[in-house]
Amino acid sequence: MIVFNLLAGALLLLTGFLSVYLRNAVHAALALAANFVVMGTVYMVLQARFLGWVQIIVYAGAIMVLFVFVIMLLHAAQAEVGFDPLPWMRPAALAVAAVGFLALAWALGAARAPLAAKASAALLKGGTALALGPELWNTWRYPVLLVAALLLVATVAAVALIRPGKEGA
Amino acid sequence: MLWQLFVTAVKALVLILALLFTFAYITWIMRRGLARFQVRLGPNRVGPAGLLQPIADAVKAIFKEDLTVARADRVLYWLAPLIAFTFALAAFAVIPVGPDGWVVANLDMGVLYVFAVSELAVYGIFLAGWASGSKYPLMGGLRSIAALVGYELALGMAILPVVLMAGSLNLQDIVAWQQTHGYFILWQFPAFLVYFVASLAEMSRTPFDFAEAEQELVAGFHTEYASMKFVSFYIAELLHWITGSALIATLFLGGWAAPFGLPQIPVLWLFLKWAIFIFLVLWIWASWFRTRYDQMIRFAWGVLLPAATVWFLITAYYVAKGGAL
Amino acid sequence: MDPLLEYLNALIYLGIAALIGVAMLLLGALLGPKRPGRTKLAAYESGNEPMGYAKRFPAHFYAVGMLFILFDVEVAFLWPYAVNAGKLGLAGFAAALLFTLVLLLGLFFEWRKGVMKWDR
Repeated sequence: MIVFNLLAGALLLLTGFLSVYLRNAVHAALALAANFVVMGTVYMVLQARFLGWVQIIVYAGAIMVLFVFVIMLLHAAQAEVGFDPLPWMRPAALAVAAVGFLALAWALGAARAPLAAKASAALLKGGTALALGPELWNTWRYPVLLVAALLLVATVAAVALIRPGKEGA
Repeated sequence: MLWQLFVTAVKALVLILALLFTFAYITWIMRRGLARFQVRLGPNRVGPAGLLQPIADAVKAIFKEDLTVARADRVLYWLAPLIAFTFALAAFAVIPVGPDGWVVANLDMGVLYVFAVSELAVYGIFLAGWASGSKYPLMGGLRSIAALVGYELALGMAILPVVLMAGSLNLQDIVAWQQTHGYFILWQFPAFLVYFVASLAEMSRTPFDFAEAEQELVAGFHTEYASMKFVSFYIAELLHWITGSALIATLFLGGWAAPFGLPQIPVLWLFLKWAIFIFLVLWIWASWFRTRYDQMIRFAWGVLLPAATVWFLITAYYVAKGGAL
Repeated sequence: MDPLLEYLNALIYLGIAALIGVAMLLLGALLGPKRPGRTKLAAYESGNEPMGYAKRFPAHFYAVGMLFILFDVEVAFLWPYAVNAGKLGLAGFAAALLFTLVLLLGLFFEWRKGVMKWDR
C-alpha cells in the first residue's frame, strides 16, 4: 500500500509538472490525461471507487477529447513559444494559485476533525455505485436535479458558441 | 498474497496469448469468409486450406523495415501503437469465461472498467494520426474520435437498462441474473439493438469503417505506419471485434452459462455464443456499404441516443414498480 | 476478500499487456532491415509530395466534444441510480425521469439548432 502511495504521488507530481512544462500542446495534454488516470486510481484506493471510475471516464475520457479538439481548432500544437502577449499574466496566475492553495489548505485544516469522524470505512462502503445511489438520489435529490439544469444551460451555451447555420461555422 | 499475484499473472498471460492466437486465426476466418461472400477462394496456398497463412504473415511483418516518417513526433509515434494495443487487450480482463475464478479481474464495477478502457483506447487513434505529421492520418484520427464519442454514449445508455434489471455493474452478477431470469436479449431487445449497432461503430466495422475510408483518407490514422507498429494497430482493431462480440454475448446472451440446462463447461459456451456475433459482424461487413461520415454522427446523436434514453426510462419505470428481481 | 485486490489483478493484466506490446514493437524494430532514404521517410499521405500542414478544422468537432462531456456526466449520474432503482422506488424514478427529460430537452434543442448538420 505504501509502495502504491509513493508511486502514485510521484507519478502525479511528474505528470502534473510535465503538463505545465512541456512546450508542445499535445504532449502537455497527454501528460494531463495521464495525471487524471493516476488520480482516478488514487480515488479507488481511498475507498471512493465509483468516483475513481468517473474521474477516468469523464476527465481522462471526455474532457481531454474536448482539449484535443481545441488544440486542433486553434492550431496550437505548432504555435511558437517564447513570445508572451500578456506579460502580466504570469505573476497574476502565480498570485491566484498561491491564494487558492492557501484557501484549500485552510479549508482542509478547518474541516479535518469532522471529516475524519465521518469518513469511516463502514460509511463509505468502498464508495461503490451501489452505496452512492441512495445518497445521490434520495438525500441529495434536489442538488442532482440542479445539476441537470446546469447541464442544460451548458448545452445551450455550447450550441450558442458554434453558432450553427452561420456561414463559416 | 504473493501466490495470489502469481496466479493472476499466469491467468493474464494465458488470456492474452489466447487472444493473440484468436486474432491470428480471425484474420484467416475474415479473409476466407469475406472471400466466400464474394464468390472467391481467399488465401488457400500456405498449408492446408491456407491455415498457416497467419503465421506466414506474422513472420513477414516482423522482418519488415520499421520506418519512422521524417516528420513524425518520435515519442508519440512509438507510444500510439502501444496505447492502441494495450487498451484493446484490456477490456477482456473483466469478461468471465466460467464460474468464480474464471476471470482475470472480477471487478465490482466491471461495466465501468469496460467503458473507461474503450474511451482511453481512442487516444491511440488520435495520437497515431497526430504523430504521423501527415494530413490524412490526422483527419482520420479526428474523425474517429468525433464519431466514436457519440457511439460511446449510445453504448453507455444501452447498458444502463441491463444494469437496471440486474442491479449490479459486475459482469458475473449480470450473467448470474440471466441464468435465473432468462437472457437479456429477450428482456432488453431494443437495448440489444442499440448496443449492437453502437458496437459496430466501436469496432470500426462496416457500415462505420470511415476511419480508414480508403477512397477519402488513404488508410486513415495508420497510413504512415509500417512493420510491427502497423501490426499493433491491426491487432487492436480486430481485438475490438473479438472483445466486443464477447461483451455482447456476456451482456445479452447469458455469457459463459450453458443454455437449455446443458452441462456447464467453462470457455466452451462463451466461445459458441461469441462465434455467433463474430459471424454476424462479418456478414454485415461483407454485404453492406459504408455510411457517409456526417450521417454516421447524426445517426448516433439523433437516433441511437434518444432511442436508448427512452428505453432506459421505460425499463426504469418497470424496475421502480418492483418488476425485476 | 478485499475488492481492491481485484483492481490489483486488473492492473497486473494491463501491465502484462503493455509489456507484450513493447516486446512486439522492439522485435519489429530490431529484426527488420534498416535502409532509410529521403523518399522513403517522406510522409506517404496521398502518394504525392506532401505540402504544408493540416489546418482549419470545422468548429463542429468542438461542439461534438462539448456535448459529449455533458452527456457523459449525465450517464455518470445514472449509474448509481441504475443499480439502486428497485430500492429507490417510484420517488427515485420521478427524480431520474426529470433528470433525463431535462437532458433530452437539451439534446432536442441542439438537434433543432442544426449542430449535427455538417453538410451545409
